[in-house]
Amino acid sequence: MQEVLGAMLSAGVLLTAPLSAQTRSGAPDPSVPQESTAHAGMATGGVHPAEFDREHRPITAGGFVTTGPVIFLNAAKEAGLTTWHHEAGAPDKRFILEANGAGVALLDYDNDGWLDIYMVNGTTYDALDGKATPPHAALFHNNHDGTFTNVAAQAGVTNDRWGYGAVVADYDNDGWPDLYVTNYGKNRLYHNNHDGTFTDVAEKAGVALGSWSTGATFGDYDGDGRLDLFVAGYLEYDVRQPPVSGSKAMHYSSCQFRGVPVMCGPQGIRGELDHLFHNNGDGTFTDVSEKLGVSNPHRYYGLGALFVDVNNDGKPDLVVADDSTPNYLYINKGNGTFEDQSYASGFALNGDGREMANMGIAAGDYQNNGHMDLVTTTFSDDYKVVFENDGTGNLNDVSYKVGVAIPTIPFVGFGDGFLDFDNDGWKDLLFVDGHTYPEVDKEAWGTSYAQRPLLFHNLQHGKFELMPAVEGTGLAAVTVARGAAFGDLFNNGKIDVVINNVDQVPVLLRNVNPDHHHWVELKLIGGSKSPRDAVGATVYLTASGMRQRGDVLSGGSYLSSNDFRVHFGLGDVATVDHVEIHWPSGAVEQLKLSAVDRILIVEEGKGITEDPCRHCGQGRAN
Amino acid sequence: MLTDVFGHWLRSLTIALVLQLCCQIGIAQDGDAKTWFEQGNDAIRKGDATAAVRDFQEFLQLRPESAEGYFNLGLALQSAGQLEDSLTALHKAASLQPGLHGVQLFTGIVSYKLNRLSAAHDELVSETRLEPRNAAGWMWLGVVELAREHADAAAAALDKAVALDPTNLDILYHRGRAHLLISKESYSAMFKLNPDSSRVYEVLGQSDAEAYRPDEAIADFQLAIRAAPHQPGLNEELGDACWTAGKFQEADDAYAQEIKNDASNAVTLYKLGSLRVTRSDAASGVPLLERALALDPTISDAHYYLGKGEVALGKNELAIEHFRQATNPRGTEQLRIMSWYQLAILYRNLHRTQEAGEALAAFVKMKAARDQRQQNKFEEQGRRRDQLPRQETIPATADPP
Repeated sequence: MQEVLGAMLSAGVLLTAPLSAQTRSGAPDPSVPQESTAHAGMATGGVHPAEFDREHRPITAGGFVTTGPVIFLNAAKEAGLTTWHHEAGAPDKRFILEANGAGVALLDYDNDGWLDIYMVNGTTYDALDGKATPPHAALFHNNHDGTFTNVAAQAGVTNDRWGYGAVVADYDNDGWPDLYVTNYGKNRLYHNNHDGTFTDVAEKAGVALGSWSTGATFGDYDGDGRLDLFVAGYLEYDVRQPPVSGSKAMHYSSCQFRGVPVMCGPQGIRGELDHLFHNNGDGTFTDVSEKLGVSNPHRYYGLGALFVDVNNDGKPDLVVADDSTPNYLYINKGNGTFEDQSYASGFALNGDGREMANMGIAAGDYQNNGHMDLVTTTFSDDYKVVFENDGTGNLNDVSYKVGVAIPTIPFVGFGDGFLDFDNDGWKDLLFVDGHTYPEVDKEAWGTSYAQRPLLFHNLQHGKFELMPAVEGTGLAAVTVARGAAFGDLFNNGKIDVVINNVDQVPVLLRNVNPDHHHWVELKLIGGSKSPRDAVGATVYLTASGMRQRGDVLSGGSYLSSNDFRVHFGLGDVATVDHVEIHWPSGAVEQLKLSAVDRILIVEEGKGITEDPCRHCGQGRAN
Repeated sequence: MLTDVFGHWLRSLTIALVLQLCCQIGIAQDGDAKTWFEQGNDAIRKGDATAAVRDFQEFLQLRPESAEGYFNLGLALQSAGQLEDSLTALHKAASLQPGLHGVQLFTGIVSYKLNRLSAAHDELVSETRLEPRNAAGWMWLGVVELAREHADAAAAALDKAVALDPTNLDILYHRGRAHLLISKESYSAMFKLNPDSSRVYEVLGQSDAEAYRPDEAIADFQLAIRAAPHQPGLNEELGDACWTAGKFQEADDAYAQEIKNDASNAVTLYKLGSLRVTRSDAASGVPLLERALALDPTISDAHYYLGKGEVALGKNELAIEHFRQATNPRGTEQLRIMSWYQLAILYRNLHRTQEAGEALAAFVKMKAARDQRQQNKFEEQGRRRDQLPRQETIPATADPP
């Protein structure tokens, strides 16, 4: 011990810090929240203590239990998804271009009633230089038997650029889902040719851009029945002159994490502009972002983006998750313009008034009070933020109160979404995680490069409970996760999740939760004054006195796009009392459902027009 | 090393004294002597010590009884590194004019440079008696005491120096060193007396806490508490370490024990109260914070947590009052900024739009100012690093993209 004391004394450790008025030891006062001390390009939180499990694994890649509920299984291999893998630059991630990963889109591109999967891919420097074949994106066609076949090449959607995001919408109201892919470089607008193939019309449509685009979302902001397109920008980045620590452009603090050199950015690099494209109705778009004040004048680092009605006025508002900078919330004023309510709404910052490294956005009514709450994923050393909506667009950070904050601190969250995994009628919450710095695996910081997903079960009284990561199940799958899309891949009433991992094969979290709860899903088709795919519609379903809300949203999560079908878990209740649909046109339609445990098609003004009844007689989902 | 540290300082002082003497005696010089004297001063100003020595020697040929001439010659010789000769010249100056301003200071400095510490000490003690308002004399006395390994005496002299000249970096540096030595001596003596005493564990715990090793700090404080269960402060320190480590219940237990030991410990009451409010237990946190403020109204930060607690309890008007008080400049800047944000959100939720806007504006302004300061700090760090020799920052294995 004398040696220890002597070493500390000689190192001057004991007396290097002045005594604070409120701590005896001279250590930081724990009651004063830490400002950013990590000084990383991405980190905005303080430094939190390392957390390890019993086997001394970081809690982000450990903490497993041997027994417990089996909710998800990773069925990627059985489904055929592991025939493809994501690739972006080099594995050591020296540049931020390589680290941000890519998204996933779920779409029924051939209108056969089954969800297909689009996986965005990155690329390599050699491919960028034309010296190698670029990695391709994947379009996995659903074979209706639990397996998928990659048809990207035949469909013409391999992208072959440095891809990041994907979002689905029927922008031309022809009844077939189209696909917008964001890239470093020019973006793609894949128009659905109705025959299993697509044609890139981005240049012709005026939405190709050419910078670094990330999250995209479609929404009919001006109520003309045509879906407009918002595209978030991340960084002004020159691949020929990448940011290097110590260069004139990059100060060292933007290239360190906890004092360890890592890739530079985003802090210290100029942010890219955002773009809002108005749909002209003739296959072209007009950039109205500056005119409408949504062009990101502050040069924040945009990632997740979503059109969603936050203040319950029936008009889609616009939310943007910004990395390391304040989030945007633009309130749709209903006259074709927006008002920046980012700070006033409380969405810009967390409850302490601090910006976060926001990545993904989840939107859902987790309290069944009719209000659309928002959740953003953030960096490690920071909690993931649950914003409770009071129904008027005022958002309050309730992350600690609802039990989400503390367990999420060591994780770097990307994709996120609300899903009722057990069909009990209450929306649960899932985060997929993975660090951006491979270097963390060399340090005992209690975090890891590859991380496990986090599933929070809604306890129904404003609290969530973290579900255990049972060994061998999907919740124990440790990957470098980025994009995540949520949907009923197997038409069995259970929400599954597809995850795109950096430099790895995908994960398919197949929902095998052993509940026998009832459910119903509605596929909406808009009328002549609404977008055909009903993006922007809100459904209120009442069963046994409980009123749930579901919205048709295009985009969200992390650079991803979810199932458009609105899913409701019903618990043990086998009858639905009432369904009320608020169409984007403003029309409100009341419905009675004669049966549950099935997927129903509802057309605006016509009620239920189709009951595929694929599972009639099977009863409850499983 | 000290010569290096003080090189610039010493040169400035030398020039200042030379110029002072020049003004005092310049009028009295005859033509040739005056020329040599002024030439010597110019040479000192220009940093040409050799020329200065020659000029002052020429001057003294003409005016061999000039104390000022010997003093300046001593300073020039000191600058030229001829310390023995410098000392002789300075002694001659002192003998010709006892009490000549600055002679003993430089005699002490040159003696110190010659490692004649006892003589240096006596000269500087004498200097500080003659010139008790001269910070330089106290500083050099402190430096000499440090060299003599008399840390207590050094600290006493340097404390006086810093009181006279609180912005002098050299004085601050040596004063810090003196106090560091006192601490080291004290802790070493403590360890020799009883290596298992609570105080030893407490010191170890404090060092671990400062070095952000919370788990080690917790273990040390627990050992300290085992050795002295009722010693005030130990449980509070344990609580701090637990809180830092994210062990909130353990922190709560430790603070509660501290309060049992010392019910009037306002700081611990504040910490326990703020911890409980943070942990969504406003009902028990708020009364603790109120007790803390009753005991010590200067804990401005308590108002922030009281505000948060009152919000949780639905007492919005009380919360507003506390958040307003938490914006008081006495509080921690971070909590003051956060208080403006809480006010903005609270007013907004109460539909008091104008006040919400004002609070938000105050928040944005303060935050922007702090962010700009931090940005400036980073940029300054970057500029300093840019002045260092450039190292290859891209790993050798990297291929240019």
